[in-house]
Amino acid sequence: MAVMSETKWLCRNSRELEKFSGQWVLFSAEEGVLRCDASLEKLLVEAKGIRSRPRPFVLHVPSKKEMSPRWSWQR
Amino acid sequence: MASFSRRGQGRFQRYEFPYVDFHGRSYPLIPLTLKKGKFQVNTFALLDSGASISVFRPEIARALHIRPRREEAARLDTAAGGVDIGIAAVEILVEKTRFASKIGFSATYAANFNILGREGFFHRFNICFNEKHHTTVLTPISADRS
Repeated sequence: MAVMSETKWLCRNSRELEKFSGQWVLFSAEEGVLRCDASLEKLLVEAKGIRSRPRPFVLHVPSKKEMSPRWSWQR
Repeated sequence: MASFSRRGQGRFQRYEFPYVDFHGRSYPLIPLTLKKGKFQVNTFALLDSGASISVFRPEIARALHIRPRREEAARLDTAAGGVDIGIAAVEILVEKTRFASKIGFSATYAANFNILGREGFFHRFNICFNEKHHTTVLTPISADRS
């Protein structure tokens, strides 16, 4: 069964990525975080100068505030 | 019942994706590539069986140089009120499974994750959410079996 290496990397490093909350992160499984920026447009411009194979992934790291559940138990 | 076909993509192929944790909660995120013409973006999206349509963050539309068609607009109800969504045709690639679909984008609404809703995506896979093991398993459904 195929498990993409980027997903494995993301699972292992998601807690570390929380420090980039609210920003876009450019990463690859082989090289880790390559760049981060609040602007995806700016990030992708910078990414053009990065020679990475395969092509890296972008992810918007949600802030804790954004992650409030739609439904939750009242505490 | 339709007979099982040996043709088509994806026979015996299954993709398993572990849930991803953010801020103490686990989410069924999957990696995918969106293509529009000569532009493409590798990113992640949340599989949401409770969503009718897919809605991606507006920055993704800009990265793909997409101008969503207003004539194919949808109205999205959120906790914060109604939001107008422009629809755009894109090509989606999940591992080795490639297909054309439609994605909604909004200039004003950005969900925490890109959302993959049922329409245009869920009929391409058998999808199993394993909440015990925190994995999502996607089994491609061949076009000739749909």
